[in-house]
Amino acid sequence: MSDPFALLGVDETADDEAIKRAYLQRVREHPPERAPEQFQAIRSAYEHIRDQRERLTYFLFHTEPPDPAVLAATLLGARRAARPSAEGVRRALRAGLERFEVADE
Amino acid sequence: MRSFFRSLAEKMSKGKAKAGRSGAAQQKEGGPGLEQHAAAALAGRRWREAIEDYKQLLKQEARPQWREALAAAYLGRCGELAGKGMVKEAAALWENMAAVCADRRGYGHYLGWLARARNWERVGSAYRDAPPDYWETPAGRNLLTALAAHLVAGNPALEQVLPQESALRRQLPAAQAAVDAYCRGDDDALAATLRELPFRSPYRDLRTLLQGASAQEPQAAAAQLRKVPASSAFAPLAELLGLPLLRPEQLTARLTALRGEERALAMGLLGLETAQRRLLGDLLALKDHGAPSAKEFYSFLMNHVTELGAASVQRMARALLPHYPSGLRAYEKRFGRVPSYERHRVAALRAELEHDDEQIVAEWRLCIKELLASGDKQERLMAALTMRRYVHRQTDGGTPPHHSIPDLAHALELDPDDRAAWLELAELSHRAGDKTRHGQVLEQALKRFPDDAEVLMTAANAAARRRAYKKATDYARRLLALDPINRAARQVLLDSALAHAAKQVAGGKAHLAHKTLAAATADARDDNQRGQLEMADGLVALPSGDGKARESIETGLRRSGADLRAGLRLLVEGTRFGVNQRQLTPLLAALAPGGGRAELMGLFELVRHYRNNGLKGVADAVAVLEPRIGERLQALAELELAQVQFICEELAALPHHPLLFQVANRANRRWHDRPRFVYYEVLGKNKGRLPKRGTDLARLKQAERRAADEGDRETLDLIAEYRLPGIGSMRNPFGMPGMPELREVQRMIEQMSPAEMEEAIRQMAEMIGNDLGMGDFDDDDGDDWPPRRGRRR
Repeated sequence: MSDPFALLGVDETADDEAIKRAYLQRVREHPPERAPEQFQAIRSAYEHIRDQRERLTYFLFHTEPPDPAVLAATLLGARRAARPSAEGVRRALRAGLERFEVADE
Repeated sequence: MRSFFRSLAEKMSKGKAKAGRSGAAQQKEGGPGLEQHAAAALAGRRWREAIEDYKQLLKQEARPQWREALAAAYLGRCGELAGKGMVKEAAALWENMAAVCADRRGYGHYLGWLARARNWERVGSAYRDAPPDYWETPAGRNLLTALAAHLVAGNPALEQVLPQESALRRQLPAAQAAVDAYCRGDDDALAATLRELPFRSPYRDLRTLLQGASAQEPQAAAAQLRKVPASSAFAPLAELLGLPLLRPEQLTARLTALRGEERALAMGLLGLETAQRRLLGDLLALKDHGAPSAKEFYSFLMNHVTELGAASVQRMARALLPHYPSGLRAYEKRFGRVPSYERHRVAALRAELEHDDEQIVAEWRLCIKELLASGDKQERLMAALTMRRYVHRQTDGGTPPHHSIPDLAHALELDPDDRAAWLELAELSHRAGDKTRHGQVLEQALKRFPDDAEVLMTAANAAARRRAYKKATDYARRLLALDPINRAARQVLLDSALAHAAKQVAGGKAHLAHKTLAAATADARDDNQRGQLEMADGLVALPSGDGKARESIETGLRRSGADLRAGLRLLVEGTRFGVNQRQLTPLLAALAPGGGRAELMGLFELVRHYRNNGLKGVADAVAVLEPRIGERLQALAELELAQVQFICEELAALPHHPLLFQVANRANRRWHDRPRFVYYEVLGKNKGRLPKRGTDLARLKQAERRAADEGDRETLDLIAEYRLPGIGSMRNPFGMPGMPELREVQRMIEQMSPAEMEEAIRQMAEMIGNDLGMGDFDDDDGDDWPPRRGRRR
């Protein structure tokens, strides 16, 4: 599971109301019928920090090591779309051709 | 003399060999013999032999058919070399063939070998000489596309050797302009430039992928990119340009699979800033050699606090500390000194990961002590949560340790709003057999959570179990006021009515019992429940010889499903209402044939319900139903492991050993001797007694070992109890509440000072007394142990 605070975009000091508002906002951005996996992640994050008891339980007992893949995905989720440089495309093409094998007849 | 003859013999043998060889050569050099040999070699695909032979033949005479055969042999040998990956050699040999035989067969193959040898300039040079239709073949089109890709990537040498009039050179400027337009973001110019590329252009795959990469809508873009064939030289670029369209999780997986230059290029394509690229690069490098260790990931986090954000890193580092406790120092250096409880928290979690039970208890206790010492409200709540957690871990399966209930009660003093803890405390009290506390806890929970469905249901079931049917009915009605369709609550009402009616029958008031059952019909919501009441009504009337009684029972049986569950109800309720089960057995003929797993589970859930509520006659009823149950055991194959285990638990509790053996035996065949099922099988086979057979004992021992390896405390307890009945499980060897566990006693003894040890021995000796025959004790001592001082006769 990724960091629930980061996923909902709230600070650790946020109260129940602020967390709920953040959760509802995220659900509007990723509704279950359009983005079921993201919705599940958001829901799970909310359940883990929805009130003081849950937050303290998370702080006390959460030992699941962060997943580098999930962290990478979070970083990648924050990127902006951009076009590569022409030189970048050419280099990419060359790199791909290095491993490309012409099919035999 | 001897040496002379020896050397003569040697000379003669060498001479013979030479004669042999020249004989064969002479044979070969002879026309028909050699030709035959050559033809045989060619037909047998012995290419090198064939080449040698035909060369020899052509030296004698330049026959066209021999030249052709030589070319075929050469081509065969080229193919052989290429098949071994020796493509350079294959291409060189082909050139030889072309020169020697003036034959250009297999030109396409030759170009392919040049391409595989990555000799693109030679490919370009050979371009002109290819047969015109070659470029229309699939291999030819692939090669053309590969040449196109090399040109777009920038290969001036290749460009120079290609004919100026070729499509490759003529259309190259448009292709390059299209790439530039795409990269500039000038989609209008891109579209215009792409229109200059004809439909059958060698750059058509580039056109497809640029159209895809520039599409606005992600799904359309992905669909377009997928049109680039996997065999195309532009396919790797299409894959890279498609990366931004992937979801982050998919993208991470793809990036992880890329290496070096391609990964760096991919991140450039993703529009990441330099710092982000560095961070992501470091992160992906962690996964390059498999999953990173806790230490590696911890170091990564500490090295990227600024980029990732201090708060986020702090949380992730905290989660990693139990896996890497040495990181605490770096953690404190970065985030400040941690509170005293935190060290014990990390140590306790570490102990949990290592399954070190003693350390778990010790460290959590210390953590709780530190949390309580502060007096801070939040830390008191944390203490409560910690107590609850470690009680939960200790009581998860197996006999609850003696300290669980007081610890949980203490946790509730600190945090009385923890509803789940109230229910857990009630459950622990029930398991410990402390009915009084069980009832008290539920009463307190109800005061605090009067409208909680789960609390009400638990209280209703508890009241029914202790036959406080009025209370059970009250709780059930309160629950139904909140949740009108709660079936379990309605069943409580029904069960209470049945119990009350049975009491009335026992008191000789059958007429009142009929009224009770009639009134209860208003609470019944479905046919099943109505059937139960109808059946009960018939049971009440049966002893009086009422002719309709049997009809009522039969109708009730049908309405409540006519399955094994209904059959069990009939027999057990019959016992409750004072009707002999033998009298009811003929009515079981109305039961429907096998109903599968639902029927089996329904039956044993009812067995549990009846046992929990202390109803009599359940074991007898199961014995009556045994043949029918046996017929339905095939349905076990449809059940999950936990469900089959549940059935075994019920059969063992009844007990019904024949069925227990059958069920456990099937389970062992299916799940390869799970320790619990081995225990049940041996128990069932030996009718609850200790096995006499060595094989059964050996199996039990093996199951015990396996249970220990798997940390299956519950099974260990069961086996220990079976082997040493009366003494109880090893966890509480004295079998008495309030006594400490053996390990705790051991620890106490180890921690005693010599003086304390001496005093303990003195007290024990005084208790046991000088009379080693245990003495005569006052009967009033009852079950007290050790006997109180001064009470010996």
